[in-house]
Amino acid sequence: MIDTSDKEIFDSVMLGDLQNTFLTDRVELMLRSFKTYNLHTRKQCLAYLGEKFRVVMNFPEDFTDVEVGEGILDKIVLVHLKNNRDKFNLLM
Amino acid sequence: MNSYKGKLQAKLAWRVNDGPVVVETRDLGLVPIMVRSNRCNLEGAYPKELIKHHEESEEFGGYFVVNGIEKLIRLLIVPRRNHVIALIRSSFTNRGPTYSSYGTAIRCTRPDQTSQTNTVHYLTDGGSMLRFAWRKQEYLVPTMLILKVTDCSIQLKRKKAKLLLTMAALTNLRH
Repeated sequence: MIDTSDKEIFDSVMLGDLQNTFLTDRVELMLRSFKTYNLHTRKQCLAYLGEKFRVVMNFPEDFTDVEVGEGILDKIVLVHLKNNRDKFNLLM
Repeated sequence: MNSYKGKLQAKLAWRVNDGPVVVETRDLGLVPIMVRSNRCNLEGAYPKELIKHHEESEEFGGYFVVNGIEKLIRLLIVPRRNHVIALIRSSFTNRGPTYSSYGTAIRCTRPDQTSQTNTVHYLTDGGSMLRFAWRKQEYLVPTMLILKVTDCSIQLKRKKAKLLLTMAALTNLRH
């Protein structure tokens, strides 16, 4: 599985409208400020999310951080959509 | 402590492969009955009949009697399910120093129609946060983190950039 690249996120927000500097600034800022988390792959992001929400979610204790992260996507984020790609697209 | 209730029974019929059909009636307990509904003794009664049964002549019905108390079932008005709504709400700014009054909300429903509301907040510094409630507690997560973990592989199709575009449009309006 290939991870969402920054370029992909940027492209899907901009939809080719690169003249819109207001929007480019915002997206760039969001992407740049995310760098402070020091998370590079999807796995790392999932693990980060899972680690933070482990206590609140009450999942089985032997779940890995990544599994907890996936559980959050399943139970909380746009629950009417089954696959993550759809969730990504709607969130966009 | 009395309730106005009736017995609820279910007739279960099953067959294993080509065997005989087994029918069984099962008790499912007692269920409150709505006054003047079609399961109620007062259904369609005229004022005279109501008075004869020591009821009010203009009895309205539509409620239940549970433990001696009249109970009403009230309909709740909720946002349309699975539909993104753009919001301008001044209370959003109270959430933190960089929070703007702009946001979008969607009430997502699971197959069993229970729902989970996701709200995306637009921040004045250009960022955005995703808010959700879990076990009566609210949490805020950077939207970018969620974008990164929601799947990703195939070429992106041209899609309406709902979230950021709406927000950008709203903010442009303001300027």
